[in-house]
Amino acid sequence: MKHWSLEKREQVYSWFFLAPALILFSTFILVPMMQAFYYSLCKYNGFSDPVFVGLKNFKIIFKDRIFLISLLNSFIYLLVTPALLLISILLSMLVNQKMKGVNFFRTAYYLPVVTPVVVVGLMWKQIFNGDYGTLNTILEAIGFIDKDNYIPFLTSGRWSLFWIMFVTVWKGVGYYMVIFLAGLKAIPNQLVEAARIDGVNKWQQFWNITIPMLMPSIILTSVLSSISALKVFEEVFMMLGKTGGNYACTTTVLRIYEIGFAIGRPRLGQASAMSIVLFACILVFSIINICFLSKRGYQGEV
Amino acid sequence: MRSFKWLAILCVLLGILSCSSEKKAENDGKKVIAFYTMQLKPNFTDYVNGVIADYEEQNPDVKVNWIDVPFAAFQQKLMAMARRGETPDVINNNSETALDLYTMDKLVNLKDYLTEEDTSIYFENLMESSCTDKKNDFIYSVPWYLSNPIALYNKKLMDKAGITEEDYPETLDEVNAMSADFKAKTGKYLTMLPLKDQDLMIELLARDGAPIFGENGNFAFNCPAGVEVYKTYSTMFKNRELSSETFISDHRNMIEMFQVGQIGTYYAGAQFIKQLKANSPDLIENLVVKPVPVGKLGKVQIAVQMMSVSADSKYPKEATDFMLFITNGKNQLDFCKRVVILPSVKAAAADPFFTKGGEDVEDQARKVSAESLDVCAVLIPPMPYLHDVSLTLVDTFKAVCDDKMSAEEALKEAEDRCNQIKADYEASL
Repeated sequence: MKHWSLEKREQVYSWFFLAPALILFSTFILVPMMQAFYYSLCKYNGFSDPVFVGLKNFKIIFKDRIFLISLLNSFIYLLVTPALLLISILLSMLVNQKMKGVNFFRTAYYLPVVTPVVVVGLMWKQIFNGDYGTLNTILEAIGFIDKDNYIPFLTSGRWSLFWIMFVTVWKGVGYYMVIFLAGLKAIPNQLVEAARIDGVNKWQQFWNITIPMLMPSIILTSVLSSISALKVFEEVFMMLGKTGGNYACTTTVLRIYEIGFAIGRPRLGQASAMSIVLFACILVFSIINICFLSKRGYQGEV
Repeated sequence: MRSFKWLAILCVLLGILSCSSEKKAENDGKKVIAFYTMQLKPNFTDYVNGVIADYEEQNPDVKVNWIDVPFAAFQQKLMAMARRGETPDVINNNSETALDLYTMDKLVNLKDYLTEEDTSIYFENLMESSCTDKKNDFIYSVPWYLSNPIALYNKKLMDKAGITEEDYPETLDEVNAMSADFKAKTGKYLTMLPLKDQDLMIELLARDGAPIFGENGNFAFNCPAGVEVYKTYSTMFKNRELSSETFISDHRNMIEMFQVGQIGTYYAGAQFIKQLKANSPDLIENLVVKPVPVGKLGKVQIAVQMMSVSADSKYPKEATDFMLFITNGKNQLDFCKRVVILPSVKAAAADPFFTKGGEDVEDQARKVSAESLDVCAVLIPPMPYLHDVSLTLVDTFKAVCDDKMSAEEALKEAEDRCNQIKADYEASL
């Protein structure tokens, strides 16, 4: 060690400190990812040895009607991103005010984030129940519907997806609110004061100062939330089961789960191919997202 | 703060280590056989340990290592073990896992170890329908305990609907005919189809006499009886005589609905009464137990638990011996006295214990259950692609409910798709 140059020593040390993270990352993420690429080109059921079949799996999955539905649904699910951004920006501005008890609201909005998604799913399934659900009961009590016309929120085909998206927004909004809150706190006061002196109104202040200054956070949240929207699984699984209410609301990850871990006949090759397609979608989408959004507004570091 | 960090790292490391150095059994020269069961702990821990102790006493050179796994993880764990070539010696299978293991060549042919006399103690129809592959002259299991469904009624709701106990339905047709009136009078549903448990649809077809397989070995449920099933239930669904949650409800939801008085009747294995007793004592007060309504075929599906011996076993002879011991008449009868299940051994089933009845609902349930044993049969032939077939059936049935297809078209499509699934599977072997 003594004879090593400072530079070399630094290198060794840095590898040493990186090692735990690298080992964990490669064992649990990198290697499985590579395996998925390989299996997507194989006929593989998880038990017998994989057999190389070229692009056959991709041909099969693009003929699979349900996979195409699930892909479409995953893209529809992206609608949660703008909803999440809008609501959480507004919320963060609300809880950014100096008033008594604001901490209570910050906590309250954050509460759904720390609630396990299984609990959330079961709870909203109960609320949306079409036979005796809370929401239907309330709607009946205020005379909006009568007993025979209870709304089957979760069983009305693709429309049900929107109710599940609502749950995702409800659950996620607190998380993004905190990110935006941090962004708002970082806006220098001088900017706002200077603008006030120039006589801008609230709307102009929001549009020309707040939004551009929040742009780094917006890019971050829109990338994060669109990735998790494309990968949505838990909410749909909990509320509609693994076929997503008979495929009306199935999403890509649900389909991957269903095919890859099917009872009796797991098709890991096809499931891997699906996951590669999803990976490509997410990659392309994230790149578009970043390019598109970073053109506008404050050019800070992201 | 720093010591906390190190503590955290230590915990993680310990966790990783403890996973890898799990098994180190002190076998001191004994033959160790692993015995793998499905969800018997904690309710039957004493019973199983008792049987194992008896066996070890009689066979001092054998040590039985009991592994019990909850239902949810059962299949996955078993498949992982089979894949590693570590299939446990004696396995408590359901028909699905038995078939999975059999197709993976992971079970021994019990023909090599059992005599005619050994197998003659079990009900012949069970031996034949779910334990034997006649084509290849292969016995892959012996039956263990059985549970057949019984019908539980919420008397309060039935009274409200004006149905007296003598008029409780005996056939599915009667159930379906009563459901409209029941809904009108009580505002609740008489029955429910928890179609998230997808196997239900194929069972309904079989119960109303639509043949699952035809002469040529292909699917053959597309017949007038099958069309009738799709028509009846889709009409009920459209008339809101079945819950709008039908397609996203499973058995568990159905129990919940029954417990809170949202449905009038509930079909289940009698062992669920234990759960009802714990969860809704009020309901137990006005619970009526009856035989489950039969379809046009006059039969109901029975669930068979089985025992198999693994082909990975080092001591197949001892494993088989232990399997015979735990499934023998005496031990099965003991087991049946602890929970409402039925034995697969003829002599044990003839015990007066099963016909005595009594005040307690569990005793009544046992009586009803034992009495309806003769209408029970394995209606769904074992098949490794059952899951895909079931999904297809539910999918096409949904199309009828949504008015996207007629019942005839839907059943035609279902049959075509199922035959395709079968062909794909056979091509993949």
